[in-house]
Amino acid sequence: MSNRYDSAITVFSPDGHLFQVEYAQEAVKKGSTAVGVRGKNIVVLGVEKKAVAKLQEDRTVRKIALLDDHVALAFAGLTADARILINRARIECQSHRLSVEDPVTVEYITQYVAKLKQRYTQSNGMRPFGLSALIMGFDNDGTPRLYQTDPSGTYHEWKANTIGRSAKTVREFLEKHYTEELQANDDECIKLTLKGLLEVVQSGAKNMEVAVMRRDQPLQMMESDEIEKYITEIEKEREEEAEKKKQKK
Amino acid sequence: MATFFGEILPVRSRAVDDDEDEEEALPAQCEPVLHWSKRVRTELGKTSEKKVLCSNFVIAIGLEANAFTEIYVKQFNYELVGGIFTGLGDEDQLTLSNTSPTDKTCYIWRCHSNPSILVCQCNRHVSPEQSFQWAQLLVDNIELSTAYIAVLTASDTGGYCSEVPSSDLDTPFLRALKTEKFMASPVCKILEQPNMLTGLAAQLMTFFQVLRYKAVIYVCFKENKYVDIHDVKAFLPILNVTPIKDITEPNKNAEQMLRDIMDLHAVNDTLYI
Repeated sequence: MSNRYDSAITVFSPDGHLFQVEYAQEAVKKGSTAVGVRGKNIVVLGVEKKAVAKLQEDRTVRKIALLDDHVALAFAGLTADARILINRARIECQSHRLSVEDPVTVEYITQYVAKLKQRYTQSNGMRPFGLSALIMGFDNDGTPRLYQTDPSGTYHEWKANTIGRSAKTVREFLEKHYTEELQANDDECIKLTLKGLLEVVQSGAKNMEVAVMRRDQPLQMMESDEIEKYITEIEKEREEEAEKKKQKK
Repeated sequence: MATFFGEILPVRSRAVDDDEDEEEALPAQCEPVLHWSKRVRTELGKTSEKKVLCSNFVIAIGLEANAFTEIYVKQFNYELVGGIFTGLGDEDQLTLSNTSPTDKTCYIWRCHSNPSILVCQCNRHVSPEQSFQWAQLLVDNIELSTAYIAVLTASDTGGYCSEVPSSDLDTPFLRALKTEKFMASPVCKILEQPNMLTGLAAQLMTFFQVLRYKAVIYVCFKENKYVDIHDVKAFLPILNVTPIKDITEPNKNAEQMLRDIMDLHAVNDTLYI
């Protein structure tokens, strides 16, 4: 049945599917994993870093982008689509600053991105954006925010979420380990992000990229030694736990 | 057909475009050929049946299954005893020596310490037209009537039918099918209908079922177009079951070997990141 209803995005199948939009969601899974965790004073984005060709400059292969001083975005899916979307969002951030004389709230810019995505699922001769995005940042009043959008234009706010390959596995992990106490501790938030990534990504700082935003501070991309330090800590904790379990037995 | 003026014209149907009738000429495909090494040929010369003896046979089709057998199954000393050749496509890459790990080859290996263990690593595309003869070659030249056979292959989740939406599928996952004679139960679920095998894997299993051999196939359903560590690791559970468990031992260097193989096949495609 799908064959007859999946060529145009604007046509529903009799059982209510918009196949092109669902296919776009599949494109998201082709991207590598991105994890976002929101704490009380911090928001963390962690992404799997793809190995680049030997002679390629990895500076130009980025999954995390800054939209404004206080808003950042990590995406999973079609790279080229993401570039366009990021550009539009950046312009909107600046235009908002100019016309309202206030920086955008994270929800506002998420809504803008989602609106753009939605328009592409309802207009003829277009195809949906093949990417999901985690948008994080701080509002004017200092509230940390983490939103997620998908190709259909849906957006929701999350305490912690993940997109891309093996998102389901990582989300289950986050659900199991995210606690209210953890929110208050910045280090624990970073660790949870890394732990989530480690569920599906090869260990080692060269395989991941982490961006941290603290209240009233600019986005900070973590250095690889720093990531490595956290990973060693996590591995040590795991070993200790395993040891404890052994002793109990 | 006679026209109003009595002319006789060739009958043409207006229902179809005449051009459509002309079938596109299929590219000529050569018949698969099986070559044994010199050593095996001399061994075979001494037997009456002209078949290579075999107790355990692992057939790996596709990159994922090949990587898996390379790392986890073929860790003892294996010698190259033969190959099945199906002709080269225009895009197939081959080095002169035919031994580079990225070459599209199909070789049969034999364990040094136990010559009845055979592993066939098929890295190349076997067209559906060739697969019948391919399977025929295998059963004609290898004595499989008492052997335990395992076929490993990978397939895309895109074509996988299930009740849950494809976004909820926890990929990669394994599905199995077995012949009637294979008594052990597979380590994972049986491939649900209406899903089915296609191509070479299907042809092989058909042969094994008809000939009443003990065979099982494990299909890894994966999402990635390119070979990925997780897809290779999806095969891990079968290390604990017949027939693979009898012929392997834990490999300490598995992780490093896996990474090396991934690097080798890395495409560095940044279409999706």
